This record gives sequence, C-alpha cells and structure tokens, in this order.
Amino acid sequence: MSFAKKIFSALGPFVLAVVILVIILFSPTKIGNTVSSDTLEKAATSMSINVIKGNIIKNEAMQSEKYVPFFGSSELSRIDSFHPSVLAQKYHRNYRPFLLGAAGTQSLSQFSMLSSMGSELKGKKAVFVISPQWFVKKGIKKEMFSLYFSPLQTYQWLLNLKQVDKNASYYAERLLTFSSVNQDTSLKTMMEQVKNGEELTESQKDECALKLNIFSREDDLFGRLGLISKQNEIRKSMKALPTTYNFDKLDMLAYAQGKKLANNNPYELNNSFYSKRIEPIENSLKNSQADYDYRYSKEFADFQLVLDEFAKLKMDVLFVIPPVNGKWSDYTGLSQEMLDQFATKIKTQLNDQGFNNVADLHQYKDSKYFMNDTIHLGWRGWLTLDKQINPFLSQKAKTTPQYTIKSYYLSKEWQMKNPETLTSNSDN
Amino acid sequence: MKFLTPYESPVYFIYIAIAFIPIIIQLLRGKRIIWYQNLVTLFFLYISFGGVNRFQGIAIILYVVWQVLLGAAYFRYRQKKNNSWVFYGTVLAGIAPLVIVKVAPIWQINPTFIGFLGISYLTFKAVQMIMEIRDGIIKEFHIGRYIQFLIFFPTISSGPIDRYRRFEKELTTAPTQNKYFELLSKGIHNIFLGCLYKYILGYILGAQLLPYVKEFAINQGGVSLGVLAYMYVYSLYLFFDFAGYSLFAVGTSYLMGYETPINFNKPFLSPNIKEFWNRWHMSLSFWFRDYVYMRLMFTLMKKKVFKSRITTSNVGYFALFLLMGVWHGLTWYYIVYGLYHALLICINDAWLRFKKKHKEQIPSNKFTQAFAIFITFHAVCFSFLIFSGFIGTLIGFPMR
Repeated sequence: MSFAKKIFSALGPFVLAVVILVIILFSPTKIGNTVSSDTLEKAATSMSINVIKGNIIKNEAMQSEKYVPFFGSSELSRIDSFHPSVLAQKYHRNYRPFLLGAAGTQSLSQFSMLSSMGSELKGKKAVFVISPQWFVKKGIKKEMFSLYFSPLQTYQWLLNLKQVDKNASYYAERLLTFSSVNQDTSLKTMMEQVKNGEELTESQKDECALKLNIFSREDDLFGRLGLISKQNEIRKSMKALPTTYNFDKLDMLAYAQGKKLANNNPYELNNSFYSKRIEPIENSLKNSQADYDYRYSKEFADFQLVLDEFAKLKMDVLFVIPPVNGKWSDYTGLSQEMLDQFATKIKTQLNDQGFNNVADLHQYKDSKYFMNDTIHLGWRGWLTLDKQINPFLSQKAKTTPQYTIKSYYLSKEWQMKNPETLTSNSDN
Repeated sequence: MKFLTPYESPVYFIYIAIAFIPIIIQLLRGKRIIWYQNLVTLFFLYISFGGVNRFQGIAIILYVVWQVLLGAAYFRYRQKKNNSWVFYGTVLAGIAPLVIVKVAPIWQINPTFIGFLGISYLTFKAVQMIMEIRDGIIKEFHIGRYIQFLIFFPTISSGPIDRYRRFEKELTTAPTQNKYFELLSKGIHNIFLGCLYKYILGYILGAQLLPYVKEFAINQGGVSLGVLAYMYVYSLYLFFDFAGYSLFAVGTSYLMGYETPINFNKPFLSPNIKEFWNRWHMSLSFWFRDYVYMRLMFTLMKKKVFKSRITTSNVGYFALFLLMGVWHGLTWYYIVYGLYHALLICINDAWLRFKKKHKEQIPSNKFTQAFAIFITFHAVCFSFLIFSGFIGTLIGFPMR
C-alpha cells in the first residue's frame, strides 16, 4: 500500500502533465487563431528563424496576393532606402517582398522552405538572390544547416513525396550528411530508403503524419514568438525618398547616401561594418581570398533542387547574381576571372533549363556605392536591381514558363565542370 | 521494428518499462535472472545497432571479440611474465580501433566500417581492464562477465564509465530486497529528473533558444553580446543534455539492480576548477585521473624527469588535458579547449599555493565563496564556447 501510494504521488503529477501535453500536441486541428495582417507585415521583413523554420506565418502570407517571396541570404538584411521592401512600400507597388532567408541560408534551406509552401506558390512569381559565396567546395556549412534545419518541413516533404525521383534521392542523400538528420534514427531510416529509391511504407507515412501534426501544433503555439520587425528601419529609410519615383533622381540620392555613409575606408564599405568587422583585422585580410574558388561546389547540385521545385510549381522567377565589391576583392585577392566564370556556369545551369530571367549584376563590381559592404548589395545596387524587379513583379505574366529540367545538373560531373570548357561548347 | 539510439525519444522508456517487468519482479524477490537480463540486453542492442545502424552493429561485435581476445591473451601472459613493452603493446592494440575512428576523418575517410556509437566508452572500460590485469588486481578473467561488463546497455553509448570489479560484484550477487526497493525508487526519480533535464530543459535550451542566440550573434558579428548569450545558453544546454542522459543511464541501471556511479554533481556550483572536474562528467575525469594522470605522475617521479614537483604536476596536467582534447576529436577547438583547462588548473594550483603562504591577508567568507563560484562558472562557460567551435563559424562570416 505505501509503495503504491509512493508511486502514485511520484507519478501522479507527471502523468497529468503528460496527458495535457498529449492533448495539445496530438489535437488534429489548429489551436491558435489565424495570423493577423499585422503579424504578416512584421514577419515579411523580420527574417526570423521561426518564420524560416515554421509554416504558419510564411504559408499564410503566400496565400495572399500581396506578398512575393524573396529568397536569399544575408544581403536581404541590409536595409537602406533602396532595399526592395522600402521601395515597394514607398511607391505603393502592388507587391510586398516577403523576405525568406537570413545569414547562412543556402540552397538546401531554400529548398526546404520552397517545398513546404508548395500549393501556395503554384504559378506565382519569386525573386531569388544567388550568392557566389554559397558555392564553396562542400556547400553549406554544417552549423549553418543545423541552424535552419526544420523537422516540420522535412517530415512534410517526406509525407508529400509522391514518387522517389532523382531529385528526391539526391536530397535525402544530402540530408543524411548532417547530424541534425542522422541523429534521429527514424528520420535516418526513412532518408536511407528515399536515397535508395524506395518508397516509404504505410506505417512510416503514418509516423510522418503524426510527427508533422506535432510539429505543426508546436509551430502554432510558438511560431509567432520573438518576431523582431524591421518596420521601423524601413519607415525611417522611406523618409529620405522623394514622393515620386524618378530613377535618375533616386540614383543621385543613392550615390549621395553611399558617399556619406561609406567614407571612412578606401573600399567604400559602410562605415560601421568597416570599423567593426574589418579594421581590427584589416592587415590579415590582404590577399586572404586569393585561393577562393566558387566554380566547383556541391552547391550547384543543391541549387538544382531549388530549380526543380520552381519548375514543378511552374513559378516565374527572377534570379539575381550580385557582384563582389571590386575594391575589396582587389585587396583580398579574390579572383575576378573566377567570379566571371562562376557567373557563366550558374547562368548555363539556369538558361539551359529555361530559366531566362536573370539579373546578372556581377559586372557592376566597380560601380561606386553599388555595394553596402564587401559582398552585400547596397544603395545603388538595390536601385539598379529595382529596374528589373519592379517591371517583373508589377506586370502579370503573359505565358506560363516552360522549363526542361535535366538531372545532369545534379551530377558530380556538373559540380566539377570547368566553366572554361562551357563557353567553347556553346560556341560549337 | 522501430530503431532508436539509447534514450533518443520517450518511446525508449516504454520499451524499458515493458522489458523490465520480469527483472523488477525477480529483483524484488531478491534474485537476478541473468539469462533474461542478457536477452533484454541483446534486444536493446539490436534496436540501437540494427536497421540503419547495422554497420555499427557489425562493428560492435567485431570490437567486442577483439577486446575479449586481447584481454584473455594478456591475462594468460600476465600470469607468467610482466614485460612493460608487452603491456604497452596490449594497451595500444586496445585503443587502436578508437584511434582509427578519431583519426580517419582527417583524410576524409568515414570510418563507419569500424566505428559505432559509444566506442570511446567501451575503450575506456577495456583499457582499464588491461591496466588492472597488469596491476594484478584482476585475479580471474571471466569471459562471460567481461562481455556483460563491456556491453552493459544502459551506459553503452555515453557512460558513465563503470569499474569492472564493482560491476562484477553486483553481477554475481543480487541486492537485498530493501536495498533494491531503494534502488527502484531512486531509479524512477533519476529517470524523471532526466526527462526534465534532457527532454524539457535541454530541448528548450538546445532546440529553441540556441538557434536564436546563434542567429543573433551571427547578425551582430564579431565579439558581441550575442556571443556572450550563446556561451551561456550553449553551456547550460551541454549540461542539461548530458546530465539528463547520465541520469537516464544511472536510473536504468538502478532498475536493473546495478549501482552505476553518478556522473554529475552540481558542477556549476564548484568554487574552483579542480572541484569542477570532480563534479562534471565524474566517471570520465576519475578515469583519466586513475588511469592516465596518476600513472603518468608515478612514472615521471620515479624516473625523476623533472626536479620540481610543481613542474611535474603541471606537465602532467597539460599531457592529460591535451589527451582529453584530442580524444574529443582532432579539431583545433577541442585541442584548445583541453589546453585551456590545463592552464586553468595550473593557475588554480599556483593560486592555492599563494593563498597558503598569505593566509592572514586573504579573506574567506560568503562573498569570496560566491565570487569563486562566479569566476569558475565563467571560466568553464568560456571553455565550452571554445568547445562548441562556434568561434570558427563566427570568424570569416560573412566577410568572404
């Protein structure tokens, strides 16, 4: 009797807690209310980790006609008066960018987000900023991958997997190289199967559905916490802009702002970035990037996953290739020839499969105040890009885009393909 | 069949609850059912090292065969002779699989054919055995018991590191009914506390808070408040995750009637770094103390390598912690982590000597005690920041 009592007093509260938790997590319907337009507005520029890893906010935003997804990475966080979010708001455009990306999100994270929004994005437009810096030999760093890894989106992907094609098995193989995936034994089992081209069993699908439900409830409950809005920054940045849009006037303004805000260093980097990040270690950075090479990388295949998904969703996408600050790359020895070849290679991958909207800005490397810092677009860079973004997004598409996806671009051969051999091929 | 690494998810405990019913009933009657216990062990090893992890399963079988042959051969040899070089050779052969697993990644080789989760902990147990055979403490080499000791599943993948003689004593005698009653309730308590640590606190810290502070630190760049926040969150996460795991391992052992030693004892309340190592991952630090440090000190002193005792002990600390760093993995931050701790201990020793000489001038009260805990906590947290490798992520990002 006393033993039973002891057990009961020890276990009672625990059992009660478990029951409550089970009710919350396993309830098949949403617990929270729908996302308010105010939250959407905040989230559109927050680039918060919850938004990236979650579904509730970004998927709700994609349902509306107003928001257009902007996929990218750290450059999206450099807000100034010419940032796409600022221009769209100031000039009352018929679209608002929904920034999907943050420092360290590369193709794999973008693919995860993209596939989790599938039905909401069908036939829509998007802007995708491709950073050359992603294309290091091994692709995304493990730490960065784990930071943005979303179990919610991964289980969703598994559950929605209609057939195990080459892309799916490549993605599974890639995921298995990260500990966030292969430490979870059941996830690892399923990914191994997909990698080998096997379908999931019915009971595995049930498990995915159950896990997906749990993660969705979690997203409901916590997905809205901790959104740090950049709306204030945007409103402040808007004030400097003239009421009517005139490109030449705006360009002069962008030049003037750049000149004022990037004057404490010879590289035209914005002042605070220079004094905080560069100045303390400036000497050690001289020629430090001489052997950087973005031409051979796993990322080319990871990026192909994104392209395949865009094609499946019949989306119309504007791809952006930003430059690297020329003065800075001269100092660090980053090879311009290599960057040119990188641009050639990535454009081949795009054009060959029918993705023809490419804003290749890489030749603007020496334009004054084009860049905010070493690798991120700034004042005149954003404005120049706006010349393509605005017409692209403001006008309705005339025809649905036609793509021809080639699995060759997933191959090791393509990853290691020398871009110099490409130009000669296309000449023939 | 659902495959799970030990304590990976709460489902594991449902298996334990069911599989343990006969064990618990028999123990409450004062008996061990060894054959059933071994069956349960095989079952749990199968769900951990089968399915997708089957290559690890093969590796662990080969590994155990290797260690048992090595132990048996050395035991037979030691009954007649005691050549130091044979002993060194045996120890080297014992740690060889672990060394290969740790070194292979340098050449981009994935050592799946030989490695498995927990290889370190099995190696610690095996090396200990060889050393104690040499010392002549192990009087009888019982292959069956040795295997049961090596593959004792509650502690297989991350410890705590038990001692053979202690384990053997419990294996051969069942606890009394009263004793087991106590173990049972302590075991349940430990498992629940472990749930709080690992599944709740560890989860909030690791899966929810850590990404935030990481992102915050990356966006700020360089040395910032974000890095400080990351340091605290990561350190606490490390503690709750691992201490939770250890509580599970100890709790599960208790349910089986084995008093596996505890691994953590409020480490963040340590007033100095030595005390910290007596409270943090205790079974590991005691293992390193008994089987590396003490033996190294003994050799250095006997051979009079250094004149001063202080130099000798400081050299010993550096060797010990360097080894510990290398054991964690051959990356710069583990090695720096090890050397940093060696430095902390040397400084701590020097301070203690200084304090002894100037007893009258240095106050000792509640305030200084709290201050000591504060300093130790931060010194340790900083070491975990190094350990996390996050500094490397932060540097060069995103300036590329």
